[in-house]
Amino acid sequence: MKVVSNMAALGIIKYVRTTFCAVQCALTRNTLPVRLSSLPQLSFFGCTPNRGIRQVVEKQEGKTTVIEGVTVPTPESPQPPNPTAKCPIYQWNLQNKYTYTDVLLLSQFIRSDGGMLPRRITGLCAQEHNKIAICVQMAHRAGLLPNHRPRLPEGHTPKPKPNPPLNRYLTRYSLKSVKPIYRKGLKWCKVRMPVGHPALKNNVRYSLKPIYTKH
Amino acid sequence: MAACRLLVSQGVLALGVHYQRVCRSVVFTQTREKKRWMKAYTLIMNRIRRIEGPPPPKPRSQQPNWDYHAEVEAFSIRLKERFSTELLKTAFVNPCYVRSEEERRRGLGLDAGAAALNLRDNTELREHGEQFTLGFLMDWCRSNFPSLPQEAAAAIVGHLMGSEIMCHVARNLAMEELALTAEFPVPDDVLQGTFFAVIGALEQSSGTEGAGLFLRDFLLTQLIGKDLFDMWKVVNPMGVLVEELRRRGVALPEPRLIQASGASTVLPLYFVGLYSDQKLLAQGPGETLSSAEEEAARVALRKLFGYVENRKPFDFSPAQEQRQPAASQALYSR
Amino acid sequence: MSSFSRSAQQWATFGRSWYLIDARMQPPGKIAVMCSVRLQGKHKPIYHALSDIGDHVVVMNTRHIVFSGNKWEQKVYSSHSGYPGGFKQLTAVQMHQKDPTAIVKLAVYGMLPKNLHRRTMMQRLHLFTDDVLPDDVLRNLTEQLPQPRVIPRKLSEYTQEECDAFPRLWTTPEDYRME
Repeated sequence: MKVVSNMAALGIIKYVRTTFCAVQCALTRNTLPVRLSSLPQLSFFGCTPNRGIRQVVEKQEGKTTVIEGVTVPTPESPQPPNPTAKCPIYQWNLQNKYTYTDVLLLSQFIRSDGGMLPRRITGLCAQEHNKIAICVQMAHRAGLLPNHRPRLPEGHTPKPKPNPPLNRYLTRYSLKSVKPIYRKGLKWCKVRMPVGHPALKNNVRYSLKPIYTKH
Repeated sequence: MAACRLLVSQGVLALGVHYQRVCRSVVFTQTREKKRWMKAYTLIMNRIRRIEGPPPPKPRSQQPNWDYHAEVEAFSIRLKERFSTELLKTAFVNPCYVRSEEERRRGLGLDAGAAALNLRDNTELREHGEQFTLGFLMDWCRSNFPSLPQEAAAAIVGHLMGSEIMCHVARNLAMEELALTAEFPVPDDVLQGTFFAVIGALEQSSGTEGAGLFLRDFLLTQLIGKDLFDMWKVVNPMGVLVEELRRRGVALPEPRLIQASGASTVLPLYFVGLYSDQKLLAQGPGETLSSAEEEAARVALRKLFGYVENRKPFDFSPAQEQRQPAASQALYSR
Repeated sequence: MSSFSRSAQQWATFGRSWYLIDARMQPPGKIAVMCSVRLQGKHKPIYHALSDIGDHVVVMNTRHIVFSGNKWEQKVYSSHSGYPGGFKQLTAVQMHQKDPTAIVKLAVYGMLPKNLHRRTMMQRLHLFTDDVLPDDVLRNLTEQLPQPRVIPRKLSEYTQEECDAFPRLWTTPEDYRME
């Protein structure tokens, strides 16, 4: 934030989107590296660039001082175990291994307002995209992504919520669509309350108890 | 008593009337009908029994098929000890029996010379046995609980030699039937004396070792499951503990509350730990803090004296090593 | 280990301990399982159905319990007053607004054995809507039980280091403008 204001004050801002490694190496020696860690959830510019390190580069050429903001590419993340696959989930061998609580994973596939990123961008296959969408939905309903809410229109104050909110998890249906089950039915044909989602029923479990979704 | 007699007389009267009525009508023959007089008779006898209480116990010696010599022999064989029969018989003769027997003879009109019984009573055997028992038990306590103080060992020995334990053992060894006493439900002190006399007789007839084994097997087994402070009454265990620790040169105990439950209810439970030099000596539960502290002190004393519940069990194994030469012979002879 | 005297041993064996359960973000059924086991004394080696050796259980934060699925809307609590037209049905939300302890209480009550001890055991259950406990209850407490459900962390509760340590699964195209 401080760096941004400095840059604004100086008025010489230059975004270098494309970077060259050789230049970068030469520059980093005599520069003052300022880590402005990208905030993946909170975007100040309305635009969330990738999670790189941006450096402010100060160059002295006679009387002019050029201050550049350089986007350093993402530090080489560890190589995925299965790089030939197309879908990132398959690349990292994560199929059937994530659920709604893995918000660090889910947050990579959503916009700042909580919606899913399009599949042509993320490269997910259809099945995994569907599952991640389900998990994101359940995480939203469980309140695990509190800052990824749709932006309210200007001058709009939200309605007062019941205090404290009703806690829930593994919520499959939207809250307005379900109705109370006043007639539970007979003992052998009870109306059940579904918990979780059948798309996630193949998830890896580390306990002997089988998953049970019909409460 | 008068009421009983009245009852009986009434019953007999009723019986007689009934009998007369029966006899008047027919000549007496045996009838196999319902015996209607039986009910009244049983009821009366039951009432008598209820009023008078159970009949006084009758000694086995006054019941049929009693052979005193055979019983005494059987006693020694049953215990698998080698008594000399004369000594054993002497051990069973109490001075009160001699006195009462002479009294009875004199009452029958015999003169003094003829009334005198030619019997030795068990006074010497009794004293001998008591001395031996005391010495043996004290030695045993000292060897098994080396860290037990003198007064605690004395309390344990006193408990074992007390009339309660001794009479319990003696009754279960059937000494009550064999002892010759003046009155039959044998008084506790007489029975205890008889037991001491039997121990003395055993010591004289089969030696110190055999008598020691007898004491170990029959008297010391009564210690099993006994708590130290059941036998040794300590009013202020904390004082005893402080004294003991000071004698050993250990830092003095410091009580700390380590667990508590339900402090504001009527059923509180506190655990107090005693720390000496920042090491946990013992912990004890209690209803109040003071009682828990006292209990902790008792537990600490038990640990210090080696009288804990999980101590090594007493050695009741047959002493094979010491009696190796006599072992085979004893095995076959018994 | 223990070489207690008999009376002290007895007192310690049959003393009632007080357990504390924090129901924040916990499903009421799992809370009720823990409660009913301890109220009946089934966690003790000396348990017998006829001996009244249950412990006390204090449940706090019953206002902040959690339901899985859509049970807040779907679950219905029915009761009948015994009079004609006295049949009442309340959803879990309505029940919770009416009495924040009622859901946990009904769950425990349903899990206890249906006999004459049930009311006695329920008297040893102390429910509190928030984490403010009265002083005399606080002094009794012995032990806090671990929560049965692991509370998942929100995204805002992760620190920046943890976020950075998580590997980026896919790379953003350079020309994609994020919203």
